[in-house]
Amino acid sequence: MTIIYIKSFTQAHKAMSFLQKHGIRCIVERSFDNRAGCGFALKVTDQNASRAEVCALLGSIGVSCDLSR
Amino acid sequence: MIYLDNAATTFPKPQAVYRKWAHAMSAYGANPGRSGHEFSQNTAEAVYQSREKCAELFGAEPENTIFTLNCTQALNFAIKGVARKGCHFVTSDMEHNASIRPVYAAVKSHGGSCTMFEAVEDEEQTVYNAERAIRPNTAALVCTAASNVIGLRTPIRELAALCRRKKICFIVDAAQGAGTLPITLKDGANIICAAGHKGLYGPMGTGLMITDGAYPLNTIIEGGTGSASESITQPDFTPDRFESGTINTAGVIVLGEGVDFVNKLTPEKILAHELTLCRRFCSGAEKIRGIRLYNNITQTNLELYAPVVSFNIGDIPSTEGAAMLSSKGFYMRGGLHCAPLAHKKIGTINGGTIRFSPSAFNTEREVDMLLKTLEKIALK
Repeated sequence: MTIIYIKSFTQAHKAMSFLQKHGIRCIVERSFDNRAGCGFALKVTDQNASRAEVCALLGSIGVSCDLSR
Repeated sequence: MIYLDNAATTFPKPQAVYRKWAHAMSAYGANPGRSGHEFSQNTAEAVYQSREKCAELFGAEPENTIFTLNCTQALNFAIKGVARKGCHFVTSDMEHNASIRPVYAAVKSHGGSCTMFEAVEDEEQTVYNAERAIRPNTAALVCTAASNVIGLRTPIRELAALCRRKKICFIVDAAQGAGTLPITLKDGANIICAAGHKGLYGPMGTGLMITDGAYPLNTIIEGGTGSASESITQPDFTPDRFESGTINTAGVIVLGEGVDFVNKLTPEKILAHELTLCRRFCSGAEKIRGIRLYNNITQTNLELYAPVVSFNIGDIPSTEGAAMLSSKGFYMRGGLHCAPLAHKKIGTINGGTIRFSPSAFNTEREVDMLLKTLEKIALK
């Protein structure tokens, strides 16, 4: 499963809405760790979508996959 | 009751808005973007869907579409956010207090200054007047899309082009234009501030600040955002940067329903309908002896006006006139409409005016009934 960490819930939902329009199944969950604090995790549940494909799509709407965990 | 005070807030709201309100209070009762449980996530998703609708209406990205409590709060965020030490602001001479008060507060706290330009019916002249007011240290031009007193529209596209040429931020007060006038970021504004409860038919307690992200804004309110919680400084990303504390969750979800209503009817058709009512009102009122119109909307000047008409009944003070009409079942607002500059401009600063402002729900029959009542009052 591809997991992408995103800072704000608006960006996370923007990403989810965009991927779903492209037929890629995903969900948004709350995430937390001691270094990055509170954030959101976009979990791509679609086994057919690779991380590279997802990140390329998200990059086109200004959502970065580079937020470190 | 015949409600004609829609420039203050639209009433009634579409039936779908009432239904959504009842639904939202129970179905979306968790805090969005805070907790991780399903209830909170569902609420966050509903908030996002509404944000997306609002963004689309103004040609913006969802993350640059910030929910506020009203247009005034949005204008405060924008004006005080762009203010810097010694900065200069340019405004028109018909701004609402929602703009002019934050401008003067920003000028006072930053040791800056402000210049007002005269907005007139001749759009080229308005732009020329605005350009003459700009200085090398001008931070922003703050301008209403349309006067809330006399409905006079300002040439938004041309003023935006001027601001881009001069490299200054253009902040549009769209309180009276959102939902009817064509105001989007594509027209060149950097920041659009709007009320959710007027032309967008949402509930009171909702507003929007739409930005193109070109100008970094300082914050005037800081706090919890549910994001970047490890940091004691405010997030630098939007909308979180400007949405500290719990938002009016049910309100903004319902606002999306109002935007749906506007999109379904289309802003162009709503504007045409409301201007038709204004034209009918002006045409009838100017024939009644004793009625004084301060802006006369006719077939030939429709494009210059938003659907707002100011008038008085003889020498009767506007608030008394509005009270007389209220007793006959016609609800309109008398006084200065929180816009003393516009009233100074038309010479009514001492008595104010009565304001006629229809919505998509008003009818020609209602206008005719008002005219008959005005005739009776004016004859006395």
